Amino acid sequence: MSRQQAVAYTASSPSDDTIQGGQRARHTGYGTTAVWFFRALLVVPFVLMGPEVVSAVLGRPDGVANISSSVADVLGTSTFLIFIMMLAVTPLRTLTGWTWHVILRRDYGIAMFVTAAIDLVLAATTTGDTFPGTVLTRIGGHTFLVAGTLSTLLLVPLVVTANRRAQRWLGRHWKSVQRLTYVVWGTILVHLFLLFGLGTIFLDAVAVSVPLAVLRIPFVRRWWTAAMHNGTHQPTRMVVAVALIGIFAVGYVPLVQELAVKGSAAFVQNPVRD
Amino acid sequence: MFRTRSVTENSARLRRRRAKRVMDVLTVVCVAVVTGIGTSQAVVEGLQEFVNRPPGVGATPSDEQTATNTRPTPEIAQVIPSAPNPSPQPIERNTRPTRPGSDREARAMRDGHHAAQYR
Repeated sequence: MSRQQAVAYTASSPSDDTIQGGQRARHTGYGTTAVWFFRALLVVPFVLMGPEVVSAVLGRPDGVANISSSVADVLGTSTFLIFIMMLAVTPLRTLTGWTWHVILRRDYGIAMFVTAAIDLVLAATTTGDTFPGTVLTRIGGHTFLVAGTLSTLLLVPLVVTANRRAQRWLGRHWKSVQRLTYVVWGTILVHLFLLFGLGTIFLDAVAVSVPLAVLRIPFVRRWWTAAMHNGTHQPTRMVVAVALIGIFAVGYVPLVQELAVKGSAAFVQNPVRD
Repeated sequence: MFRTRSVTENSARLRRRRAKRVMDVLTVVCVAVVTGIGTSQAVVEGLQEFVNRPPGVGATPSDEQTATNTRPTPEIAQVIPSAPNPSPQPIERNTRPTRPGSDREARAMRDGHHAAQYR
């Protein structure tokens, strides 16, 4: 990944003028290591699903049925976690002033699309036992499937424009195209609500989303940046930061646990059948 | 020179606007595809089927879970013997004479003197 690609990918607000102005992430030694560590995490969902996919390709018994049981749990949860990590880039920058991680926004955005697309393809081809019918039934036969498929397809314009060339091509319109991220955010929450109701996973998703949304409110962001720049309101900022990180963790930790449990079961080809 | 620059700026602006339109069309196509699939499925499968989740998906319990929750497992049913039916108690008339210190007198004493005269 070249430094040229340290361009903001998605979810940058209009006030994020440093990114629009082409500021690139400064890399320290630790920053580079951390960036590669976070990039390596993107391989995890594919590693977890790998054995089941290989098993299905080799035509082993239960191969397809195992994928059908795991695909939504592993790749669906992974997609959402990657999306959240991508959305967390800008608030983390607001909170801390760090820039080393800004490069990850694009990587996470593209990885999210790849994960979601593979999830969609595997779901369309292997979940015939749960959704009898055609491929169309498996990707749009229920309201929650429509919301999920819409979320995935809406990533297409985002990924197509996630490069320097598209940024030059679109000029000032690039930002408005990238604001589609917020629509995807909404459709994902709708997808989870239709799937789980007011249950745990939906509430976890809301808990994770709240701090990320609060730190995107222009007033909050301006106030925070100015206070950090001037060195004022330190206790207030500390309390607010701890509260927001706490709320984020309340939602994020159960989602990671869910991925760990379902993912490890998928890896040993003994998926959790709901 | 200024004119040339102005023409270049205009063409660049026009190109960007066209690029934006291309991206808008792409977005609309994506939405239309999903909406079309969803609508056709709702028509073919029926609205009820379209709205409801199948068993075992998301928050909806699977058929096996539902069956397990509604009746005890056979092992437990075998281990715990069924409770014997209580035999009906014969209704007996109280033929014993009222003695001092019996329930009725004790109640009268407890309720006070005013109550006793109305009994």
